[in-house]
Amino acid sequence: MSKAAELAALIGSQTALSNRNLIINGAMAVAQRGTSASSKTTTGYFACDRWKTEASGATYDVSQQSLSSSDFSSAPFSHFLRVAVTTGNNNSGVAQKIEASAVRNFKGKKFTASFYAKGTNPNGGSFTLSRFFYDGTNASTSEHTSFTVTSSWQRFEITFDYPDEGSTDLTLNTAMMSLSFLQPNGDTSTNAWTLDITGVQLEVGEQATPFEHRSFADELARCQRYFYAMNVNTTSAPTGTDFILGAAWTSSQVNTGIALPVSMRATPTMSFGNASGAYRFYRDGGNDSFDTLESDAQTNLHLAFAGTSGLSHTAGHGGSVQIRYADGAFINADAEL
Amino acid sequence: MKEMNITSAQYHNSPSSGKQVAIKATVDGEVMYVPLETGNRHYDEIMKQVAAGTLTIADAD
Repeated sequence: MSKAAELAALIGSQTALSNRNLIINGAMAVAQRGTSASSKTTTGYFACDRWKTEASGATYDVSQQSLSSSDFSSAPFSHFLRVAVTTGNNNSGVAQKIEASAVRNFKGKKFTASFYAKGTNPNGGSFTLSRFFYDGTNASTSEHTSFTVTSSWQRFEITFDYPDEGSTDLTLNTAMMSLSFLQPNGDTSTNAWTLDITGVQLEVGEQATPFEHRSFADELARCQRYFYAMNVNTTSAPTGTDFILGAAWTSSQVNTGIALPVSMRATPTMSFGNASGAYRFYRDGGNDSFDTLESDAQTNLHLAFAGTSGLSHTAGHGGSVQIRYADGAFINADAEL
Repeated sequence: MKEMNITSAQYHNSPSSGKQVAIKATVDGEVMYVPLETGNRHYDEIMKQVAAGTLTIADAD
């Protein structure tokens, strides 16, 4: 095999020079839910999109932070994710759940994860990069590689085999590969630690390539497959108010809804910022102020919802529903893994 | 350890059609409308907890 062919084999594919990063929001630029959450004890999605913080008995703060220009020589990114654990525990940290459909065709190949990180290590030791498959019922055995951070930004490159699938069924729409940055399983210390991380890339092959920068719009659209927020905390919605079309289904009910910007991974869970005066239905030269929205139906393409209390109007009138962010309104759709 | 802290669950009917379209659940302190669809992580977790006998879904109002 020629040197060129050997190099191509190491990289993975000569044609996969774009869209090679299997991680979404690796540069931590998108944060639709908001930029910080404090004193969390539950697992969930709280700051940077697609990054799930794993509590596992720990207490932590999580936030999207900005890098300063003085950092750019060592970490050329605008943002990073900070997980600041105040009370540690094993397997606490942060993970991205990658749809199995995006990785299972690479069975038998090697992956290389690369990322920029700094912070303080759990119990003065090290972190672990963990990966495993999970299909909603069965999980494969987790595989680990240790890494140790310092107080300065460093780029880490870790190559590993396609993880053992175990008894997981990777054809299910609940199936995922988890890539996690954790306090090690064998370390049950409760000491505080901090992980600052950005520029996360997972690619096929044995060679880490430079981080694949994507436009904000591209990354946002990828994130919206899993979560969509109509919320002033996001960079996707304007501050103040939004208007969406509404129709008086009855004299005390307004029906409304939105088309989702991208097809979501699954039918999403809906939640609303229901608060005093959060919504208004403008119709027939006047308006009704109301406090609550509720689900009317939902698909992975469209959300239908309704206001059913505090309204009085003429059935059949059309109008617009005002979403008043300053009064606490929001509309979220969640189809995360 | 439970993936989510679900403190209430009740079937929810569409106010327009009257058909059952979701479960209104309080998940980690937040009220959510969870579709009746496998593959939605909230629905899957609700069903796991129901199967384990730790959660009951109330009838719709």
